Amino acid sequence: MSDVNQFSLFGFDLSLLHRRVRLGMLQLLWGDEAGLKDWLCPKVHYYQLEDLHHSEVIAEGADPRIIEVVLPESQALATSMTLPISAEIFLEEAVSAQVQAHSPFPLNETRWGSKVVARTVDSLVVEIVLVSRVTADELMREATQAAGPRASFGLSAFGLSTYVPLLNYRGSAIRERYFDNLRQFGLRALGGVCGMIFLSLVPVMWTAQTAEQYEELLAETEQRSRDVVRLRSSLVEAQEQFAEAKRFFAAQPDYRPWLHKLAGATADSVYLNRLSLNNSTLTVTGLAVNAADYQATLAESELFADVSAPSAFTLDNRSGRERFTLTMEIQGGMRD
Amino acid sequence: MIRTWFDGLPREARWVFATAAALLSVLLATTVVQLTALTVENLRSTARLEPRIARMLGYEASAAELELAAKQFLVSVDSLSYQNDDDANATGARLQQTLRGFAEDVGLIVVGSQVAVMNSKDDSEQDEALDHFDQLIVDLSLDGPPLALDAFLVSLSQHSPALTAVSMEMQRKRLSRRDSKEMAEFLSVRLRVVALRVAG
Repeated sequence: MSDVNQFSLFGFDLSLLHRRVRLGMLQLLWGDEAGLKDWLCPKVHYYQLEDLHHSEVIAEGADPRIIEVVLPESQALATSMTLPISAEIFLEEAVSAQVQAHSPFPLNETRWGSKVVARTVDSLVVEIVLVSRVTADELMREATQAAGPRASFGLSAFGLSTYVPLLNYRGSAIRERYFDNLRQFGLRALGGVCGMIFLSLVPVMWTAQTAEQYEELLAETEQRSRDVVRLRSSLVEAQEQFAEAKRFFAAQPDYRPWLHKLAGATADSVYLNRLSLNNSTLTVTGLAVNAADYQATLAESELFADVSAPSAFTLDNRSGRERFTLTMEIQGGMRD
Repeated sequence: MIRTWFDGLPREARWVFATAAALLSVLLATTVVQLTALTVENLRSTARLEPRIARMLGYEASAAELELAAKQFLVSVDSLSYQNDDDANATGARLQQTLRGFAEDVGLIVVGSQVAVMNSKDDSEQDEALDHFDQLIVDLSLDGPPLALDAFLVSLSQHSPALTAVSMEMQRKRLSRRDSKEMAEFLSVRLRVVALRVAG
């Protein structure tokens, strides 16, 4: 049984998660479904031991350092087992148990390998090959003598339907080449991403430079045009002052013409005792033969609006005239 | 095609690949968003600065016109208000003397006069508040014939800086025994005159 990683986080056992992640990575790297291995891993060629004595047998284009030697079928036992798909994370333990159950050799004298050959939604089929440790070691020694020490060997056996590599007899060269290719691919991808980021940085740098130039230009222009800006501020202030003063005086009527107009509209028989002007409100108090006529005259003159009598007309016995008080609004005539 | 390939992967491989792809996507998206934000910020900054620079260049190009216009407006303001060279009370006193002089010149008798200064801050809560001016208010009590009053009002309207009467009350003067017969036609006038002074 392989050791079980005991990771925990706040009391939660993370070993299952770790196993799943590890399994997922193995499936991506070495599984047939991902296709990564077919793309980047050197193709494995299988040779019988006797083929190694004849270099011309080595497949054309194959790396002579990557040699997978196939055990004779008579020296290996093959079996298979079906597992539920959820048990794949415990595949090593399951295979180990299966080997223990089926091996004719003592466990420490047994070498085995396994390979997932079929996978469905619910289950997976694993082929297992078993071989005696002595046989495997002997074959390795003979292969080394035949192919030379520089070659990297792996041992496989033909199971029920395919070649199954033996555990502990895997050649390191194929793995190194594969990871080397992966590294190169990763670096190229990283370079591509960096290139794209750099291309994306071009407009950023360009706009930043433009903005910086504008900032400098603004500072220069502000420095240079300080006096003009001050002059403009004084102009704006003068404009505001002028507009406000003009508005103020325009709202105030000029009283002099109104006094003349009132005098013109008043008959000689009317006596004004008191006259009051407050902004645009005119109030007159006086005596008239007929105060109502006088009120009507003022109203009809169209010089005044809202001509009204705040109190009743009364007869002044001494003068024999009507005493009146009239208020009105002077119309128009505001200053320009 | 990628979807078919992805669906064909074992479950654990799918998880690992999806997690790694999501992390990379988030990383790339963050980078792209940051770069885009930087670009937009730079563009916005440029768009903000461009009109400011153009405006100031415009000021520079029209400096002579600006100077001329400023002078013209200052002259116009001078014709409508007192400058704030002096203290407001001193200006008010000067105005008071001017108005007394006008009245005496046209034959009016100045019975009394008071000056008040209303600062722009004092009347800021009123409807017709003035932001840029103090108001110099002179209350005058005058005695004199109607023609003299008319002449006085003419003097007011012709004065520069501008003056305006905001209220006026008049009635026939009550004669005392000491008064001469010439004063029979006299009017008693109470007049409030307002001038503006640039707030200091």
